[in-house]
Amino acid sequence: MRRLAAGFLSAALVAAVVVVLSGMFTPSWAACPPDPVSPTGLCLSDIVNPTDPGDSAPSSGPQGLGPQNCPDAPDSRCVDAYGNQWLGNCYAYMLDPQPAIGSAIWEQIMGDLAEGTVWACVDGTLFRVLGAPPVVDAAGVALQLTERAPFEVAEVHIAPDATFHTYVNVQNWVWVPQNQWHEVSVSLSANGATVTLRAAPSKIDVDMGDGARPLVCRSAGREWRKGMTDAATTSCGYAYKKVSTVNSAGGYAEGKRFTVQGRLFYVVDWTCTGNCSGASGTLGEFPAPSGAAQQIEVRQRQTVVTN
Amino acid sequence: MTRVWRQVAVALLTVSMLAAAGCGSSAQKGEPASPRPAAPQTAPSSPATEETGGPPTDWKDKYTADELRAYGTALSRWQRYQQLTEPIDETGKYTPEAEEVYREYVVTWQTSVIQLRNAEKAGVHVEVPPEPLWTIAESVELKADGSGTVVIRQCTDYSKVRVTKNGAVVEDGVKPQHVVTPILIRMVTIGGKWKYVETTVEDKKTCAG
Repeated sequence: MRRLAAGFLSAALVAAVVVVLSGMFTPSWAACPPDPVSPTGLCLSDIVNPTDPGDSAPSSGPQGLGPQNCPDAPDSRCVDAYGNQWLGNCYAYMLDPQPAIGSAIWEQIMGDLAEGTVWACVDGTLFRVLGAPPVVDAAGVALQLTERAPFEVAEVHIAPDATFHTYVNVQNWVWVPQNQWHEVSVSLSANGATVTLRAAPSKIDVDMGDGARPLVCRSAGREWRKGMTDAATTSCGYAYKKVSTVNSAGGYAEGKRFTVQGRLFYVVDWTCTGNCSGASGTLGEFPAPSGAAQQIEVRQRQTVVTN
Repeated sequence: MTRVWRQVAVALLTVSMLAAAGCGSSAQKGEPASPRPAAPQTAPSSPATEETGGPPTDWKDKYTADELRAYGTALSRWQRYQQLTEPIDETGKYTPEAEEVYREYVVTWQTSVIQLRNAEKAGVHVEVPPEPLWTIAESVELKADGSGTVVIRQCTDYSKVRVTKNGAVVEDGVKPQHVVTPILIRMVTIGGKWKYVETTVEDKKTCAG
């Protein structure tokens, strides 16, 4: 925040700074000024705001996708978590509503100009943008929306149930509830544009815990129910090739289990209406947060031959 | 984006207001702040009368009837805004209702939303807000089109303020150095309504000057 205030060296502000510097050796008045105080005059910036303005932007998408073409912005992100655009010195948004041309606040910001738009840095500092407002980086907003998308956290089920145990070479059924397999969407309106993100589930990815490649299923799978016969089949199954009850030295480890954890993936597309950099696009495949881990014991069936 | 920024001219919104604030006020009597429930006693001392001073008696003399009317409307909006945001700041959680309040009363309402969301993440609660003691008009500027700017000078008592972060009281850096000091609240018309723009703390002296 502090750097956003650069350039605001009005005479009065300087005077206020002088108060801080001459009043105390350790500034109890924190960063206010130059940071703005709250409406009631409290200085909350140091305790409320992230240490760095970039902290307010979420981490990059799980696959590192997205525009990275604002090198001077935090994490090179052109759009922050709230859809605000990087305008070279701060993340900013266009005032909504805009002041009427010629109104008092218009004149304070725009002077005699009869066109342009009034914007604000995220710290509330007002400024003017001449000419047409910058178009909204729709892909950047869509990327941020992936952080808000109501992705399902996979509830992976296994049969035989993980609370029991399974055996090598036995086909284990794996599935998530059907009601988790659905499209999700989220929208954000900012700066004259509305970006809508739509995400359709594309696969379940389950790490079965045995070190092999994850199980990938292109549907929710089929729930196993009691009474199903051996003739029943599923498109989402997995047969372990080794037991879990082995320690690192190759010896028997009673009760040792594999950790099973899965998550859904979504194919993410976006559309934008209004003041957009583009009408539509795709961000590719995004993973949802991983579901809860569960432990499963995999045993080896022993055949005992008796005469 | 850098090219765009080069076209951006930063407007020093604070200049006129802060400069005016630096002049102090010689007014004597003003409109009392709206009554507020008594705050829990968290500080042992209350401000002395010599700190709070009092509103000048003749401050209205320099304003026209229209200007005083505009000031009254702006002040009512400011006081209503304060009233509505006290529980929001105390709870420290984003809600759509809180956003509606900001949209209604704040020019840069998106910033207010961001700050509230940041406060929620940081676990910050304003459990006891500052207390307005008295207010007067610092300046009133009206245009023929009905738009305008009102700067409210509000003597504010910070002695009982209690701010917590994750349950722990935050002592340093939150309050002004003067327990009782004037703040300047800038209100402007936008969309036909008086809305809050910014606050400046004088903190060079008590309300008594």
